[in-house]
Amino acid sequence: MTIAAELGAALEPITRGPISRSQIARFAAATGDFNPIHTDEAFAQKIGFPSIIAHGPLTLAFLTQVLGRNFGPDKVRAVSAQFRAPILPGDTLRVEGTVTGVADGRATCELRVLRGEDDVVATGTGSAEI
Amino acid sequence: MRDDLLGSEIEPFEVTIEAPLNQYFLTATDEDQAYYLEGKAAPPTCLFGPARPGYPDPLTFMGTSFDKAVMGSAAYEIERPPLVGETLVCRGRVADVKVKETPKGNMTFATLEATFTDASGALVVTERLTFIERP
Repeated sequence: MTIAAELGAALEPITRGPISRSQIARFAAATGDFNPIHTDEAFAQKIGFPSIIAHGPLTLAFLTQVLGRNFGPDKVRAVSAQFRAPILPGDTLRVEGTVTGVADGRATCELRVLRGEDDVVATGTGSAEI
Repeated sequence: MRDDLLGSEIEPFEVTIEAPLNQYFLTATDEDQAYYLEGKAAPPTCLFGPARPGYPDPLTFMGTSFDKAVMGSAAYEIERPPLVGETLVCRGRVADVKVKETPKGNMTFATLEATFTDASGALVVTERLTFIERP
């Protein structure tokens, strides 16, 4: 689907999850990122997390997907994310965004990843050709 | 983190977008867009990762460790999606280092910037990963 890239338009959101331990393990294997905060429950708890946490780039992949869903995957030109809270096994995520600028053949967007109704676990920006 | 971090460079290395690993990445990220599932192009975010031969462990490279540092942000600029089967050259360097004083001590923010160029030398993707080292 491709949205009409109008200022203030909401992107069609996507839902991901519940994030499972096996998905985190698959992402670790796919990327080679075996940092123990993603794979070792005891280590993650030792440094203050309630459990293992999902990789930040997994969240970034979801943000890229919402841009691709709305503008076309080959049209995405930038995506960024700031990881504001750890994503834990069992979390269900809503990935959404808003068009904040349209100029020079590109739409720019603010992006968010929500856990539940209002717990913002990541924010970001993106741009895509239109 | 290392004191001489800013400007330090990763030895350039080649990354081949291999179909099986890309397929595994698509599965791991719940990718559902036909454009990628057809197997010709790869999501730019698939370039992240120590799974790529030559890609150094970023935390070790920056002189820190798992128990001190986390990834705070990540960004990709995309000229075009990488193609399955193509080989890109990755060049990386530490592009920015900032230290923020906190009541508990200094926090260090270090950004590792990597460019991926194709066989013609054209830029395909720029990746920026910012790691935060706690006091």
